[in-house]
Amino acid sequence: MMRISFDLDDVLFVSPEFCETEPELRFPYNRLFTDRLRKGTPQLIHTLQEQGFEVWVYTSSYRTEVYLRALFRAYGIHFDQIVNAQRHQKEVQRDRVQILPQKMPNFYHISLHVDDEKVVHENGRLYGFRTMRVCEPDEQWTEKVLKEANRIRNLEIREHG
Amino acid sequence: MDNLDSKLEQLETLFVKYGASPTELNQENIGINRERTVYSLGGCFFRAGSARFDGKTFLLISSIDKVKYAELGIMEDIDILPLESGSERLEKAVRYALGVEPYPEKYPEDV
Repeated sequence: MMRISFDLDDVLFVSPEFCETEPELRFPYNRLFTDRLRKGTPQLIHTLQEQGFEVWVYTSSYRTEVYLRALFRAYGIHFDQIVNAQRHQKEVQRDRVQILPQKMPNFYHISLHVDDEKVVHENGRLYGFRTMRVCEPDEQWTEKVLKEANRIRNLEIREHG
Repeated sequence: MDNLDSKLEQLETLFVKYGASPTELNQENIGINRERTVYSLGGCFFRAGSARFDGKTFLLISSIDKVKYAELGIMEDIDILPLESGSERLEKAVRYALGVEPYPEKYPEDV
């Protein structure tokens, strides 16, 4: 099963002043979970999962998994795995002398990582993992992600049989 | 005992009912600003609490999965319930929070 991961800040979590967002959660949940989701996120995640993708969060944020699962649950989203900075530090960086990039999706066999940061995409070229950039407001962002995810899946099927 | 304290005690009783144990973590802050005992279960830590929004009091279930944060009383609020929530609602919330029962597909139902 192909894995796709998403960064959080400026990808799934956006400011409503900058980007169209999902409707705010109803009071009082909007006071507990103040991060706003980019419009289309719940439907995109559901569609990816229905299409047989494993969907992960891979973030350099220290927000805890407990909090993130509770937040996404309020939006009706359940991610297959969540990798935050703490988990990355424990599982990827560990006690290596060489400082690795903040995200190494290939360590987790993630086939496509969606991120806003240029450096992540540059690291993708250097370290051999596939990325897709989402940062600006884009009404077609979900279609683009679905298209790219399926393109890579087809590529992997051809490569590995 | 006021209604809030009674409800918080009810949550704590439910923590214990479902296998959590009271800890001595963050003892120095217990009782200050209504901060309460930290409970542990399976490597996770839980606490009952409250918050006021728009003049209304709500019950909180907080959790964290790292003892170093629990020691300092730093926890994440993972569920919020009206103060007037009945026993059944409170029990369901605790069962879900502690992992006794998986969260239903849509939770909370009224978001």
